[in-house]
Amino acid sequence: MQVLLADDHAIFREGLMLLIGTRFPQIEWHQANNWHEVHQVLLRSPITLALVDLNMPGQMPWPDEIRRLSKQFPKLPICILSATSDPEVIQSAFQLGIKGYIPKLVDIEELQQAISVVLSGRTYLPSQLWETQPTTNNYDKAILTQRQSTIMRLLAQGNSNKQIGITLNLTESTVKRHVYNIFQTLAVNNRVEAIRSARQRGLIT
Amino acid sequence: MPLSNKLSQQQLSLFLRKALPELTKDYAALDAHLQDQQWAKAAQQAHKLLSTIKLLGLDALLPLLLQIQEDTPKSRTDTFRQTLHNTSQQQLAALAALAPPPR
Repeated sequence: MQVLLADDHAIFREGLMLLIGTRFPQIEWHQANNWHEVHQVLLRSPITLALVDLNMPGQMPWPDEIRRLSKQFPKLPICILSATSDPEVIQSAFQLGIKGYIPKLVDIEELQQAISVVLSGRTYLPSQLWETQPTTNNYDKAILTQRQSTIMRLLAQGNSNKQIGITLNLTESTVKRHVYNIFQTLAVNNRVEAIRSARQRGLIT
Repeated sequence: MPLSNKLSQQQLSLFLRKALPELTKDYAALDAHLQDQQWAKAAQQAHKLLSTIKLLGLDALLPLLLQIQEDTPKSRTDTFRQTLHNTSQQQLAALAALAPPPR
């Protein structure tokens, strides 16, 4: 497995590689110090996961850099590693199609866990997304069917539609239909907003 | 220090021998920005330091760096700068003790 670690702080890169290496010794690491180097590495190596900092030197603001990466390498899973834990920044990043957002200030155990989630192909959603306290009432609890509630919980755990289908013995298209209906019910546009809305309504914990 | 629970003694020593001079340099730059009242540069430097400080488990420095990053009024005072100096010296000394010089 070839992983790109992009961060403009060399000591942080080195420490993180050592740390992750204790759990995933099979990783072959590539490093980048800025957005330009990210592109250079991706052009010359078959990277399977890119772990990138948001605030690296580059020619464009980070959302544009992510868009450019996604356009040029559409199959590349991108996971953000950032000291920024502002929920709005996190949501903006997910709207660009990233596979995970790992705040750098989480504990080491959580950092390792988050990276293992992303390396396994699932999506890692940080707890900072749910800063608003959840509210519950009977109306909210009744708005999703039992099946939709189950799918909502699996979504919140970072499972893809395919993984949810395997877990519940449903086809992927059936899961997609349920997810679409959940979006309609919660009046949201994507799964990040759905999970946030479900948390706020107390539909999931 | 959390990393010490995860790495072998050899890995830890090698890493700290590289990290300590860098951290000392980074801290000196931060202190200079504060002394020169370059608040934006200080905030940027504090942000840069946060992730490594957390990785190394130097948690006593975290609230101080967060205040600089947010440019709170308190972080602009001399008292705060002295506290930051004392805390960083203590934390760096503790790290140095974990990385004995090579034989």
